[in-house]
Amino acid sequence: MLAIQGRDGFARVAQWQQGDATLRLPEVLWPRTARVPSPSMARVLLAEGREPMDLPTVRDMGSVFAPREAGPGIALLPPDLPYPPLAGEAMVRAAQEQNASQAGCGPGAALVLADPAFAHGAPMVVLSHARARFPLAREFASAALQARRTAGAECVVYAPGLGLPHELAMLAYCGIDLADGVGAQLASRRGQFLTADGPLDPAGFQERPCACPACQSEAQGLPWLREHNAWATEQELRRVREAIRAQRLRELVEARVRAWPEGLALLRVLDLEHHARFAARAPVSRKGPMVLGSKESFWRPEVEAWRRRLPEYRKPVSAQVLLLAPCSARKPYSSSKTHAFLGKALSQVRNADAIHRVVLTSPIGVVPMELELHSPAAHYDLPVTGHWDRDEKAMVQEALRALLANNTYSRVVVHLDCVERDLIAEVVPDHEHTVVDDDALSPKSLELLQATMRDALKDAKPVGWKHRQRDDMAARARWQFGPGAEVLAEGTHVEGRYPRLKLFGKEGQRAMLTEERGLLSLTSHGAKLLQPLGRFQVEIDDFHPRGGILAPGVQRASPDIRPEDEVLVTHNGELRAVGKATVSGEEMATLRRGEVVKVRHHG
Amino acid sequence: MADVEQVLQPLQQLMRDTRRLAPREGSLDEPTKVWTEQERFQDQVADALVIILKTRGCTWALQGGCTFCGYVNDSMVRKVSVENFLAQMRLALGQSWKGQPVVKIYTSGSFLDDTEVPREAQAGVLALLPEGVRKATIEAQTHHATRDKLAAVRGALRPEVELEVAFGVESAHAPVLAWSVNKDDRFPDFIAACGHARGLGIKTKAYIMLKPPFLTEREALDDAVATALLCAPHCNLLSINPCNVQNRTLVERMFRRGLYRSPWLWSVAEALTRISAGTHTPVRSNPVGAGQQRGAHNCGTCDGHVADAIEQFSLSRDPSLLPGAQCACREEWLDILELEGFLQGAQP
Repeated sequence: MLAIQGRDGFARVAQWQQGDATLRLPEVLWPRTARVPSPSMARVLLAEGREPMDLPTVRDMGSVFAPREAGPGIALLPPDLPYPPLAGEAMVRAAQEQNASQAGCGPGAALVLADPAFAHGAPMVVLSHARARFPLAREFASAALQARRTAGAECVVYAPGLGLPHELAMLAYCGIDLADGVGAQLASRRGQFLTADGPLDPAGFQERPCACPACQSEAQGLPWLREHNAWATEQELRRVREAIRAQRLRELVEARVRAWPEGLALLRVLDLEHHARFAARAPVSRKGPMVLGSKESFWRPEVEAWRRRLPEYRKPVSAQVLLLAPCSARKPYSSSKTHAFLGKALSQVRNADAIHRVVLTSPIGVVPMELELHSPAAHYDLPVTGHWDRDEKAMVQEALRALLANNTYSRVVVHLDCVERDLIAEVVPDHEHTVVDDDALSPKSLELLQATMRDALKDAKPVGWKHRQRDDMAARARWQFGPGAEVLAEGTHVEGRYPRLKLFGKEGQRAMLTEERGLLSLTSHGAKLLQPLGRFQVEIDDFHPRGGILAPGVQRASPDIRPEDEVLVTHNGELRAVGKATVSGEEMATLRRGEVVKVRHHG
Repeated sequence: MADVEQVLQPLQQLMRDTRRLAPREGSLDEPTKVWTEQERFQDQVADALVIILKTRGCTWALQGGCTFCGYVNDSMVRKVSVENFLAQMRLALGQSWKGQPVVKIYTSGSFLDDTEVPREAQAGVLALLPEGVRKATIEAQTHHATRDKLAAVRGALRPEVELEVAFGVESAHAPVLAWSVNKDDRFPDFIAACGHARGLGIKTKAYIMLKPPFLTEREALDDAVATALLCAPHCNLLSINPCNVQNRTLVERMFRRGLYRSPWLWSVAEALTRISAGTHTPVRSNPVGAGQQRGAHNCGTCDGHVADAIEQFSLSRDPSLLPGAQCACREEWLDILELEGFLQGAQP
């Protein structure tokens, strides 16, 4: 039984109850053999044979060539025919057939990854040949994600042979719950000193670069390395678990792959070839900042998803003149000095509500101001130096093209530095530039901006601010709930002070914008209007939810639901509640325990 | 569940794909290779002439064959006539026989396979051995070694010449034969063949494979020792063959992908130690390519030393010559024996 306490993408922190034992996940299994002792901090063992152990034990029963009997254990790895995936499809199928016939070897039997049909009821899925596959990034990525899918949310995935400290963050990121210390024990024997950045040769140490109990002790040689390498593993495991709870695992993974080409290759493959599956797991709102500190950050699922969705974006209908504005380190943009100055200057321009301010930024491309609270626009943080590399340039240009291809403006005003202006010029030759002497906030620049805007707006249709507020709400609704969701703002008026804006129809309140989530929270009135779109819906059994909706009550969930999404809870076409998803739609489908929707309004 | 008594078709197909055999050019009247080596004969070290005859190839290998066997690369893949066999034999003896008491006649396949070596040639080749030869060795698959055929080859030799037939047993265990080695013989075939041979006064030798693919170092070591002890009551000599990486084999494909490591020389020494402690039947080993990545090897430092000790043991049969713990890599090997099974096919 699995109690999940924290999630980040495919990674989770959980308590795994198996028989009398309760394990924390992610966890590392420590081998214990006649010659190789388990380290002092081991909590779960990996062993063979019948001898009872003082700790929960996963038992390896050998292979078909030398099957071994197994003593008590929380999971048994049945004797397998160990054909590696590289041996060819027919061989792997033959092995799977053989291995499936071994699957039913008693309660607690684990399964070598085979047909998903065999996974029912198994507590653990083994990603077979995990370590042999690992150097082949493509092969490993597909196998790991397939294992996660086969396992479902309730089942634990184990990757045998992997689990060196520097690998742990990446393994969790791939949805792997269990690794082992076999690699660490072999490294100890070979005289390697393990760290979260990879192995070191301790021969040249002037001082031990670690403060674990083993490194502070007098221990030398093999006993020292065995114990230190285990502490290094334990320490990184704790880092990983905490990073998952804080939803900062991606940052840790990016840090760990820096000096690890195999890991870097895998991350690139995951980002470029498995984007959709990761994006479906990425939360749509978050608390802390999202540090985009490396090249790989540009393809982080949330960031890539924002760029991919831009062609779907539609501007507020009444906005007519496009103002391309600089980004700011401070988020949301409107709280920054830059945008305070711009806002003040524009407020002195007549019909300023016909202006559409859009921020140009790397690496998410463009951020229309009405979406500034949305994740990742509200959270991303990256070094700003004014230098744009080719990739960043291309990304921004592509985003801008997507914006202009699907939205028509009467004029384009560019209030940006020379560098940024130059890259815009390639996309929109026909624009007006309003920054003087490369200082966007100088009185001269701001005056030029005002003058240019006055001119640009003289032919624009007059727009009342209430009208514009409603159009902004429509644009937000579409971005959050997809095409057609503009209906939410039809026949409404907006009340409240930004960002706490409330959307009212004749029947009452429909939605509210919240700064913490960056999303629209729906009322039942609003939800009813969106129901015909058929998206973000959780179909439940026939009951009337009050507090939260638990996994067993869910019949179906739209696959487009990401964690933190606003969802409509329905039964047979009847709206039963509105709330916030705590897990993705994919996970809702296989989860058997725990709350999956926090209900806010019930019908 | 796949049947261990049947050939596993995907494995057989994979072997066919790996080999891609085609008919070869070249004279059929010249042997593949001829050389002289040393071996133990009648408690002394004696010279032995080795003749590798050209044949169409091992019938089993032409259908796919054993996962480690690269000898099939010598196959002509076309008919070799009785006259061709006799011509090869005459040429080899004429050029290279200088009175060596032992002559080994190998075919890279099975000498007693009528499809590979016509019956007339089986007898004819042996009948050409000159006076002075005191022992002849041939190799055959066990299921070809029927009483009739053994009697025929025995009858082709002068009575004073000792005949030895070597069988590639590889393993006594059906799962290893079916799913690792991909062999069409089974252990009962070996027991039967040895029974026939004994009745005819023919000596027998068992080749035992150490570390065919997909087995861990420990599984391989245990399997070789168990196989040797099962063979011992039936045959006259045990030969431990550490698997080496030969061209165009499954083992080579895995080796290239980092999925196969030839056995440690420590495993060879350990196997010899355990076997000689468990049986009086003599045991020997001549690791091919010892010390190289493609042959049995250790850490690179102690390889020459350990390989020499194995060589000395094979000639002298004195277990005290087998190496002890002279190198730190022995500790690593001992750890690997216990840990490798957890790695699920990855090399430690």
